[in-house]
Amino acid sequence: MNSKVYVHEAVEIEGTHRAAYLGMVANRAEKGAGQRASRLVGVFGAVASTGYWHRTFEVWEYEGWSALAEDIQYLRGISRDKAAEDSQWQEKASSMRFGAQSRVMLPADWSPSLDKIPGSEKAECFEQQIVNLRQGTAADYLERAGRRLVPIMSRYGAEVVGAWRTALVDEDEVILLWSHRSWEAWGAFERESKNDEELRAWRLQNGDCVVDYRTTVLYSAPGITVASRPAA
Amino acid sequence: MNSHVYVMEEVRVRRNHLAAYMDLINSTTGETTVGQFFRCFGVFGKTELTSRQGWPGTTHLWEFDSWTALAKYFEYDANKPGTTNPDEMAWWQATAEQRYGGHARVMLPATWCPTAAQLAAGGIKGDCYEQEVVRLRQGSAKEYLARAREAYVPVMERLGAGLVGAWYPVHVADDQAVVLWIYPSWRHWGAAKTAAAADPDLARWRRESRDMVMGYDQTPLFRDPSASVK
Repeated sequence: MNSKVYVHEAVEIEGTHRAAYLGMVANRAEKGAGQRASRLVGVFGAVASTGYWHRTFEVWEYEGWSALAEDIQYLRGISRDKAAEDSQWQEKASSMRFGAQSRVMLPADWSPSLDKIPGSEKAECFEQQIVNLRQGTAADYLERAGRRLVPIMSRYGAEVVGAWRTALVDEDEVILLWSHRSWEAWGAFERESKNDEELRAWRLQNGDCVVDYRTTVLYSAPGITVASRPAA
Repeated sequence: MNSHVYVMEEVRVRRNHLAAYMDLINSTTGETTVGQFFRCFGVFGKTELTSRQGWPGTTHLWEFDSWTALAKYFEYDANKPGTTNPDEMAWWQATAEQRYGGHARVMLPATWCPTAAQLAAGGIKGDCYEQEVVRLRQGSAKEYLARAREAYVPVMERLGAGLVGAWYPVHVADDQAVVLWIYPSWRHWGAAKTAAAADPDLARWRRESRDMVMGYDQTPLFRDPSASVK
């Protein structure tokens, strides 16, 4: 069972800074692991053809709510002085982005913690689904997804990076993040899954709780792997 | 009974300007031209790790004595481009440069919502706040606030939160409520969230209030820890 807490950030990038920003986040995660209470699960660029652009996504893992509270205090300079390198980093990052949207997320029981994400360090391509649900159904949807959707996706070689429900709202939103080994594998999944009766049945069965969903295709920062960060 | 009128503003702030903007808004006192129309109830920043509605940004709460006071302020606001007061012009110019938009709600308080003066007299202080915007079925805002007072506020207080205020926006179909909580510290906030996940009374409130509640967004907020609610 995964009892961690996650923060999912969708960052709006200015102009041509996306590649540099992705590298900065990954670099910061590796160098600053000891300063922050979080560990980077992954930093991704959104493929512009599949959603809003220019946008990047980050997922951070915390041991629990207390660790998140500690990180908020650190960023505000309450619990201890913020490291000079963190202040410099934030100033530089601010010049590359307009702003962001953050979600606190709680994992499904079957969602792997950072140390247990399978195979993603070799993945080239990721797919993020943000699922809007009827209120109160997020935990139930994730339980069903663990039983029904994961085996279907596994047939296509897709692995679970994370399955989370959004906290601080009324149990009405879920994010699923999958990895595909290669772009070719992703293309094959998209082509073949359109006629997959089992996948069609899965979607029909969730008509009682799913309001809508949006899928965005992501890539990991060049040279950066997911789930290979040093422990904090 | 609280008979004041409130305005809640959610402002999108330009990057790197958050602290300066909060200082600027906090400087709005009764001695300034703008501050004579209302009292600053609180100026809050949105934490970058938890703000689903986007960051950087701020939330402000202003307290007006009445609708008449609000109307006077609106009259001033509509005519302010003609002002010749250089300090006032500089203040507005500075705010315009540090933000790029936002939205506001005119709100009325729950009958049991404390006024700013009552909160100040009680010495309420803290660094960690949480704004809860509740989406409701049409016409149920007052009923929601009445039921929240009985069944929700006591649970939150047991979990470590204090009530700062509870309001319902006007100019909509009685289908929203806003509740503002305070925690003694971020550590207490973290502990409360951990405990809330397994709290049966909170689960019961969430379940039983679904005949009115269509969803909610909780946004943690910070402010200068030395600042009391004014």
